[in-house]
Amino acid sequence: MPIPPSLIKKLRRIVGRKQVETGPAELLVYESDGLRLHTARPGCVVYPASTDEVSQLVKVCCQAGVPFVARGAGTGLSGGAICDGGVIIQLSRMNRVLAVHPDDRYAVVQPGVTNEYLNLQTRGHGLEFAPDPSSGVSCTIGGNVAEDAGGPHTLKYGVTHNHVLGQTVVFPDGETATLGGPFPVSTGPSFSTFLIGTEGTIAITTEIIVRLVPVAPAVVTMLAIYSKVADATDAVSGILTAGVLPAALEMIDHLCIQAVEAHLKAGFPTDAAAVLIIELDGEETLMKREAEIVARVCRGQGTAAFYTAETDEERLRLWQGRKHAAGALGKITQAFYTNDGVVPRSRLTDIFQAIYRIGDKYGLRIGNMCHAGDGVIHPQILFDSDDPQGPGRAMDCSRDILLACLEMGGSITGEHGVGVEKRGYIDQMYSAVDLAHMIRLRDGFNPGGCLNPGKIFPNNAKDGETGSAASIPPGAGE
Amino acid sequence: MTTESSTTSVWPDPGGLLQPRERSRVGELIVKARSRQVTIGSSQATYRWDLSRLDRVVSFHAPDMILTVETGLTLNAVKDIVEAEKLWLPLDTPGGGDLSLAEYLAGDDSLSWLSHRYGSARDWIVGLTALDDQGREVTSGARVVRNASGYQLAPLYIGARDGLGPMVEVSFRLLPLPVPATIVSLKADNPDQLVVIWQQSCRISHPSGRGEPWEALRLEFVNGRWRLDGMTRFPPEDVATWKGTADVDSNETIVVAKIPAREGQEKALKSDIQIQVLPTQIPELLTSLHSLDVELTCYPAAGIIRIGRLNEIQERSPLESLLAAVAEKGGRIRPMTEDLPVKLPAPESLSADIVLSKRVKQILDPDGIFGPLPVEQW
Amino acid sequence: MSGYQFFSPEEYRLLQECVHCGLCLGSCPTYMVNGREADSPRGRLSLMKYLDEDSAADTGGAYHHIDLCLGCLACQTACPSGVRYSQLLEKTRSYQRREVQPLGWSQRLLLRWFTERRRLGLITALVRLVQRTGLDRLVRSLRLLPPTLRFQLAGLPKVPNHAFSRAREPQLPAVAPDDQHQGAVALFTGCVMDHWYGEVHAATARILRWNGFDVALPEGQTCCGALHVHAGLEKEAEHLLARNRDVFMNVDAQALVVDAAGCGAQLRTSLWPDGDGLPVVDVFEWLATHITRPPRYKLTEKISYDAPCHLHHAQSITEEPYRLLELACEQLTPLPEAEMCCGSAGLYSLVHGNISRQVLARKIDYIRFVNPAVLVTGNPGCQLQLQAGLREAGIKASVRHAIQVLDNAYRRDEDYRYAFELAEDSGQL
Repeated sequence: MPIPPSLIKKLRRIVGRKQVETGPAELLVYESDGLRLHTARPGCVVYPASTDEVSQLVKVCCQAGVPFVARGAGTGLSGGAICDGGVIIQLSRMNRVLAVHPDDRYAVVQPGVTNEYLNLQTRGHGLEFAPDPSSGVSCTIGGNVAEDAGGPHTLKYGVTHNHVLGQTVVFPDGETATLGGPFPVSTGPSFSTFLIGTEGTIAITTEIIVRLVPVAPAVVTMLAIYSKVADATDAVSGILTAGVLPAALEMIDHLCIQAVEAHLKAGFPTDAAAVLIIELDGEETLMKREAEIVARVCRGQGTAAFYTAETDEERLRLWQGRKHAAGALGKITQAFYTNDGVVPRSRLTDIFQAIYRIGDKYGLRIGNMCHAGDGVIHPQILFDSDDPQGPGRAMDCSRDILLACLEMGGSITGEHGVGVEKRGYIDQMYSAVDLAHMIRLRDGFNPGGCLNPGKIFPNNAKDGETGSAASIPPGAGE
Repeated sequence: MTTESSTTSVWPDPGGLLQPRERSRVGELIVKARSRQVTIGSSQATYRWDLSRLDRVVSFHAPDMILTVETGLTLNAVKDIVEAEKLWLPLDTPGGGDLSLAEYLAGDDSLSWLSHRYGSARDWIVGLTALDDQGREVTSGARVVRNASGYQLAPLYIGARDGLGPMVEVSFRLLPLPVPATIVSLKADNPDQLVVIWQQSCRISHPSGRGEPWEALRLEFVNGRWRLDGMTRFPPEDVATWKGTADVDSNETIVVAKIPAREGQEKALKSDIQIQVLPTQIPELLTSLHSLDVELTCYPAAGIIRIGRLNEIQERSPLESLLAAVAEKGGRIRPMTEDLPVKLPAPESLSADIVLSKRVKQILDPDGIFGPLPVEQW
Repeated sequence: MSGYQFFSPEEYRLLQECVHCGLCLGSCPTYMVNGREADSPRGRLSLMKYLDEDSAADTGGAYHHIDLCLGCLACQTACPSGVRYSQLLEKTRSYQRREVQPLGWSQRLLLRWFTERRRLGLITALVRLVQRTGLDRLVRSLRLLPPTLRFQLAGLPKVPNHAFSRAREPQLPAVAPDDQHQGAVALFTGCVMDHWYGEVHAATARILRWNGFDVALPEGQTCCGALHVHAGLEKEAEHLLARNRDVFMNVDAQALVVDAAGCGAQLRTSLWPDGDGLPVVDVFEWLATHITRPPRYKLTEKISYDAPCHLHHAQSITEEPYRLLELACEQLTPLPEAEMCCGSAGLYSLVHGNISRQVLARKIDYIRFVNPAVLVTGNPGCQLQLQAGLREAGIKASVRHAIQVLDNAYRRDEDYRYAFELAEDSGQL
């Protein structure tokens, strides 16, 4: 369904002619986010520059009954930023850090600011925004808020909802609200915190107040190398139960090590079955004891070798290897598919056995890197994109892994969100009553269903309570 | 007046407590209330909940560092359970930990001397089960540390005073129990010296001058003396240097103990008013309050000051004008008791969070079965 | 599946190495200023694929975004999969110029005039005349020229009287104790560098000689052709390369030292297609391992380094400039986003003045924040662009090639001054 020309005209009047794109080349590049298996071409893309413009845009879209979705950098991995035939409200022009208050430890930012850029502005004050998704060089704070993003260091510091103090949002009817405030802590009902992780299905965030935390004065990064995956996963439990809370506790297995070492060369031994990256941070004197405990646990757990990074350069190289491991898979495969299932920490060893078993069943190679300390897995399922059955097989394989996570008492998504990708599985995680309750909330704030349709909930999901159909235009997000 | 809910035909007098013995009874009571057209839930409803009999530990496997319990357990009971496994739930309440989780979460009085570092209740809840207006259990979240699936209901329900429905089960994420630490307790004649110690300690422990050396920190003015109580992982010899040249009474002031020192929290003053400002506004405000001679508890790094024993103060107008000035500068003032002896500055308008809470209430409880949503006081 | 229009199967496979992760977005200057996916590396790769697969595609729209690429290659540094973006970009542009949209006449003219020695000599003479008579200020203030050109004029250095290579012997001997002689190197003099930035070549030659190298300046060398390749003029570039190949084929030296990042990037990959000729090295790279007599004294000014893209990203020479500058400066202050393009990018600043200036503005903001006395870079285009930007913003910092800074540190040493008959204060910084 093409976008009515009258709407395009209205959009242009709001943001200016040049800030609305309708050409095929310009729309083509918005067909997908970081997940290429779900594509949908939008009808147009608009680039607002202020909360007020966003408010006017959503109002005219709603009046015209045309779906719309807010988009940041498009690095998401659940198809959350696509909008079939609708309007993409691209927030990349709203990319300013509006204020940094170092003594009160907060900053005010627009949603298009990247994690990297924000930290560049705050590190001079000895402060940073703690969530650090691996795509932090490109991904935006607005996207962090929509997905409740995490990252390696959330093990110690918590995820986005622990670090957002307030936000300005625009509801689908164009109404704006300023939620929360700059105060370090708050109690009571928090609509702002509720919105974090709703994947842009209730409101669009246009300004964010973020908490800043002191950059740790000292950091120790260790690399433990294992010849058996199970030893590595057991060591993860071992470290946590020994009373140490590392800043980050990450695992990378053999196949991903191959990809990283093919181009990035982080210094992971290519014959290892798995490596753990363990990072401690804090005061130097206090860390020494923790480092000893970690070393003891790792050594006791059949580690082949154990290193401590001596220089900042070495440390950064290890992290680059970890954070860019998914991107590096291009070196060893044409296409891959990944998910972000979660298991209770003690089931890590079990889920890895399950992953490899499921991979064998489908005849697909699976590499792994994961936020082991949090129980978040990122199995990288490699497939042949020239094989017409390839993507389907990879998705089936991923589904089996997610169901295995659920069987172990986990979740289908730890940080990527449900998006369009996992909306088919969410009813395995929640009961129909649970989902109906959530959909009531969505429909209460998004009654026309124009804001970001077809995300999170199954297409046919009904609001069981009132009997009204969840208003999703047919074919949206397919 | 309370009632045994199994006596299904008999309801207590209006204003009474409902004490269901089992989870399943909670839903049945809601269905019944609906059929009788009475309200059940918030303080202004016909009936209120007492869920203290729902005190089951639903699941607890220490290596997962997640605890799932029914909300009839007290906060202290929860702490006992997790500390036995060398884990820690870094939450406290000035009211003492003997109230049930259901009350604790419904009222969300979860700011404490840990809050500047560990936030409030909503930062530690990963899963929540509540009852909807049809008496059905609805769950959001999961029993894992990280979960981005669906909507998280906890931020809406915590602090909603049962106005959206009763919370019956909750999952917390936990931390390893901290290593032995130093407990600090310093006395002084005025707040300035203690503020200097707070500010110096941050600078000393961190090259940028913005470190966070305190696990817990509180400044108090009680019985005519100012005192600073804190917990830190730094050894006593380091802590001794933070005092610098400040003239404080350091008799028996620094001891080595284990975190958490729970008894420290329970001594906290019962407060009448909570003031919320930015941390940089705290020193000036403490000085002003010092001159007014009111008893108070302050969590400086969290920007919180709680004032108590207001009925004992002589002159009210200086305090009232101070509160007005705080509100003028964007600070927030929240009454913690009814019948305050002082007049609070009237807020210009309800905060957006409260307006939206009311909208949530209309969506989730359109018939008002859970009573009105008494959240204006936030 | 293989390419249809211009990519070979191997190149099509290179294209597929892009897994759409988007980690390149934050490094792309055009994306940072306009926020459009089509002007990001990931978007451009999608467009290349689209153009390659479908000749009937709406080519105008797509090629516009290919045109807007600065070619800074920051995305190549950022890419975890090591997608060879520059190769794909050049192939696409070359097809575009050949089959779809020939390069505009003005750009063609510029490329022809600026890179041909005699014509460049004429232009240089004209610029010199204008500068000496003070006409340039008049021209700028009268607004006769388009704003982009006026802006660029403000960044021009004071053009010297002679091209560097014209005033020299073809072989300059080492100026070092006999036992510290290290053999011979050749110096690439190029086109614009030779005529307008001769002082940089002079400093390079002095430093090389001071560290025991004989410096050869082979005659007959010409423009490296980098600008032609970026514009999609493959054939013209190949022609220039062939001439340079003839010149350097028989030079007896250890390496061909290049002190302009753009030329270095081009020559390194293309001068010797079989990879067996005189090794092409950047001057920083060479000095980092061959400096035997570091400066005795350091400069005290606050100095910041802005990395030329064709050094940092195209040649991956990232640490060496800092190592050398540390030998020469007491106060080397890091510039945030130092590895982000300044918006010069050869002819880009003239053709896409608007975007180029927006890219520059971000850089200028950081420079204003750090406030160095001297801003150091390593490429003539960057030097011109940054100087123009600073002048416009009213920032006092001067812009110099890193080699000039090193040379100035050496000049504080009496022996060095005596050896090269130099005044202590060259007025360079």
